[in-house]
Amino acid sequence: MMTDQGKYLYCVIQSEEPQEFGALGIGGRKDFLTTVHWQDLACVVSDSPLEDYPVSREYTMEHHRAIEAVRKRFPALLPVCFNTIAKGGEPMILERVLKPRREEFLKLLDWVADKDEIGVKSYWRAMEPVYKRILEENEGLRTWRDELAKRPPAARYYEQIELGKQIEAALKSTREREGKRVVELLKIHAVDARQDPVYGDKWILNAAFFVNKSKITEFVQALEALGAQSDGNLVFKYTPDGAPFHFVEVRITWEESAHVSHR
Amino acid sequence: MFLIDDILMSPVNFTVWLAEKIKEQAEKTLYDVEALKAALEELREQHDSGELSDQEFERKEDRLLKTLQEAREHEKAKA
Repeated sequence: MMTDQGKYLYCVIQSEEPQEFGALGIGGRKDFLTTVHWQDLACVVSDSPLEDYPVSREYTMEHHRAIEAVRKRFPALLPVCFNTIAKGGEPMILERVLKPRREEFLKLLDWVADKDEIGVKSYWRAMEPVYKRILEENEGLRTWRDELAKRPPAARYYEQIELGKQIEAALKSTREREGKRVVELLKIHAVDARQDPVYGDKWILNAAFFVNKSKITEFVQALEALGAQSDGNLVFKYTPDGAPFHFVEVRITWEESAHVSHR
Repeated sequence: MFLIDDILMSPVNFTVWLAEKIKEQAEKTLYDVEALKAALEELREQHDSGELSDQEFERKEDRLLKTLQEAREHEKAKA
């Protein structure tokens, strides 16, 4: 029995000619990536059953791999949200996505054309120097710790927990301050920046920067300078040349009208 | 007050009520989407900083993604 078919959407590009990007469609069926056109605008799609794709490593990777394959030939693109399927196939994409939003998409494509997204993550290699600095900077906590150390364990139990909570709060504020400092210094070389939350104690930053291609060398130099300033304890990892997932993403709600989230 | 009186008056009702509360609480903990997303991010941080091997990371990520999917289905079913 045939399953109902739809079109899975990956991204929007500017192209007047039909394009094909290989058998990289999501779902492991080796569906071809092709394009649906309206004038000089195109949506990259593959055939797909009308089923939700759960967020798994396999499907997420296939979605991103398809977009990366398109980027090799079309560096300026607008990524579409994961798991967007047009039930009504090509006519639905034309009527609900490409035709009503053409002007908006073209403007956004023009905006992203000369920029790259650069991901920057940063964490402390060792926590001991960080705690040491927190105590150096905070006389109250330092004195409290020294007083508690003189007492026998049973007599300091509850206060020790309280001290731990306060050190944790001081660590949180140090992490936020450090993260903000790095963002401010890097933002000078970028058009825009977005921060994702960080969770582990050692982490200070998980951010994306939208950088003009002409400023990428400056940006990387600023990043290297930051790494050199930190006595080697602050580790920076960066992912260059990414699709602009943090800054532009086409979100489509089929029930209503299609809309772009220009974050 | 009806609920409290009712529970106190009837041990059977109390047992049922408590069982429901435990189930609700367990579902809340198990299917807390935001907490699961945070756990995923923390896992990625641990992998990025070299605390977790690729293999260990993938094993744990798979488990969390599966629970996240169950949580979303659970939310959908409740809506």
